[in-house]
Amino acid sequence: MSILTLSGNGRPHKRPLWLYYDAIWGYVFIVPFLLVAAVFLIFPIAYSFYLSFRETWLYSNWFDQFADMRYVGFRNYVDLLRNPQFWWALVATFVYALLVIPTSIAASLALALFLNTRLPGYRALRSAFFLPHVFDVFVVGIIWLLLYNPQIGPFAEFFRWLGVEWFKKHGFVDNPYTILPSIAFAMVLKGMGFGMILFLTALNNIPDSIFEAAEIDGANARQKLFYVTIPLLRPMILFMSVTGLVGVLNAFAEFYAMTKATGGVAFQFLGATVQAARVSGFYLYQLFSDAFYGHAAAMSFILLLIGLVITWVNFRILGKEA
Amino acid sequence: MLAKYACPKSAQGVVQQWRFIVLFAVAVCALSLAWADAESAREAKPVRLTLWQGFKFKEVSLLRENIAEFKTKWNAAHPDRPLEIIESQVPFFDMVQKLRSAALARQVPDIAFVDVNNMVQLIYGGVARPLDELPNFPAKSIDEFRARFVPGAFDSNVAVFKGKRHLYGIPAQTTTLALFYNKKRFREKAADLRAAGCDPERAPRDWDEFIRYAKVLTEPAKELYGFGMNGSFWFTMPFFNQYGAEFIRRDEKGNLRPAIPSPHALAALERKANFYLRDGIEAGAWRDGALDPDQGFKNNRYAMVLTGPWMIEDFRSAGLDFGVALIPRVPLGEAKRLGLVPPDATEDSPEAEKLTAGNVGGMNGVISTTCKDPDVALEFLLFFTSTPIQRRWAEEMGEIPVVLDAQKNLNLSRFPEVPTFIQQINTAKAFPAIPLANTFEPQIFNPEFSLVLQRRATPQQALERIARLLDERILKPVNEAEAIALKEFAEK
Repeated sequence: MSILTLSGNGRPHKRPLWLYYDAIWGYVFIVPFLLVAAVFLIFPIAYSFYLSFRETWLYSNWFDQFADMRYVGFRNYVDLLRNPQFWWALVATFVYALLVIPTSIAASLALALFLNTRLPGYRALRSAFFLPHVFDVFVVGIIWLLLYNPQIGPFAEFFRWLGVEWFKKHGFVDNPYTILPSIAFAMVLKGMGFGMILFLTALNNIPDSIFEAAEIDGANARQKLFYVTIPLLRPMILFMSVTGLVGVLNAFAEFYAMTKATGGVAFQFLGATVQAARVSGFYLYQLFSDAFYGHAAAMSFILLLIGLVITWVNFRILGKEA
Repeated sequence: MLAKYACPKSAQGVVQQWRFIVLFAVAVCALSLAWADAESAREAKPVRLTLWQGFKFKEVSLLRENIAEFKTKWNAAHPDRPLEIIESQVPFFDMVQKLRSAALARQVPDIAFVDVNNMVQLIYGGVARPLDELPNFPAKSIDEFRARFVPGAFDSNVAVFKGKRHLYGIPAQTTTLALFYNKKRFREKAADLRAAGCDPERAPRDWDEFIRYAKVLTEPAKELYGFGMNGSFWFTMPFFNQYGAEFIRRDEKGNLRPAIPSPHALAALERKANFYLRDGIEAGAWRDGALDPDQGFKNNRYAMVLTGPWMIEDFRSAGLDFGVALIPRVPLGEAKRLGLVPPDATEDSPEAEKLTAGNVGGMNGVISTTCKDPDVALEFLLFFTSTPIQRRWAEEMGEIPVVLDAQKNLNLSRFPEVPTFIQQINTAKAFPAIPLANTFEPQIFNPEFSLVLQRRATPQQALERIARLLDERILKPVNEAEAIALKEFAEK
């Protein structure tokens, strides 16, 4: 038995079936995973796409909530695109991403470079910086809320000591201008320990011979950092950018904890009242918890699309050189 | 071809008759056996009720004692139907989400104690069962049954669904707000209070007096304030209720329409906002990142707060010397100007007493549509809301009894504050029971009121936007859905 294939010169030729046995066995071995993926991944994605064209209504029976949804065509998508709250959720997410991702990567890299120098007590310091990553984000959020408290928190007191009374009056998470940077700062400090571990691993994989060669060529510390270390860390930077983006698009718990589940202080955007920290993840949660499953499904597909585009751009910029 | 095997016509008829008789007898026997079997199985089978509750701390122990007591009583009276109650604690604010998920898996509990503000969702979702249709419902009508309960608490259980008015739950726990004041701070500032014409031995009685008290008690340099307030809708309801502001009305066609902005709603919102904006007596406790009113009161930073009976134990265990009073009234002059009282009303007239008003919170006991023994579940709810049980909840937990009978002759040596709450709850009004009302507070009212407090909008602008959003996001969808539903129900 044989299979007809095209040879390199385009002429058909017969290839014996036994050559395909390895591939067939390969597929046999991954069938269980494919089945699991089909049931728990592909089906939910396809089903939520189907749900994005339907919506619950007042009389949707809870015992049959999904079957009781009504077909609304593209109305969920149109509703979202016409809603200033949705646009603010995207803008807030974008601002938060700009605040968190580059800062997080820079802080993690700086920490990794600092703790890669075998300073006395470096192991203890590594553990200390990694520790916040282990804590639950709700716990961290509540602790930061106390730190940011304008009446009893140390940060407001510190700024007052510096002569800045503004935070004492307006707080950190209590006004639309500082709420996103305040949450971003807390989350960068929480997450940079994990980034540090990743960068330390990547740093240890760079052969010493490359640094030695750079030294022989007369490179100073700054040149070694910018022309040797950072270019060789590009795959890790790409990885952290992509995972950071996914994290930001799904960010919810820190906003829930640090705004006491409100979505933050209100302000006007495009003529509508929006809440400053109602990022896309939070908005999605609210749609879902209010049982607007159709809108929630439509929003997740819009976010998926945005995530794919940004990841593709990331790969185009960083991936080639990496 | 088969004719040779066939019987003669008459013989064939006899055989068919016999066959019919035999088959009929077998069927009757089988049915009788099956029925008898099912009957005996039902008789022998214990009644199993699942119960989800959102009580906290010590309340849970008392609830468990009540369950055990009911079981004992039930089993003694019904040895043929032994009762088992499987109780689970669910966080108060997560109850609706859990019920939604449980409904999809057909795992809804038989009884659930649900936040009063979420009742309508359960009714429209087909989860809550009409209780007035049960054979052991203990009154001739809903209104007759209502007379036993705190009106505000009871009303959140009554709804018109699919054109019919039913009772879908029984108040299980009720709460309201009252004014807590720090007696120690009042004593410390006694001389200044007297100089300002205030009596340091008691709480302020109307809002004008309240402002005078709070101004004396406010010392911004020391970060001490006369008042700490929560900016959410639930905590603003007493203001709207005492100013007689309505949010929703039905027009001549029966459609729901916003009843705001109105002079009454505006006066209520301005009154609350001005504590912070104009009078400077409020600490900014309404902000997300600030010290919340309860915590600030506990730390002696806020001299007065509006909070509920659930904080009594906490304040007491913190060693706080505090008193509880009715929420200050609308000042008589303002009330006359707004037409809330007749022009000849005096401070002591009965009309003036209605110028204080509370809000309604707490939990209702709901029986699910999937409950197999709703009669037993109703018996349990009736037991739980019986006078002796409600008296225990008041005397041991400091809670407001949901039944009026239980409010009489209480021994409240441990909780001397409860009578004030009882007086306040009897003035309380619930938010209209309409679908999607659960989104009104977090997504419509709170952000707009936050803008007012940040000086980014005036109360009038905020009310206009609240009215528009209320109409767009809640009332119009409800009107449309009701119109479609009525058409569909009529066709069916």
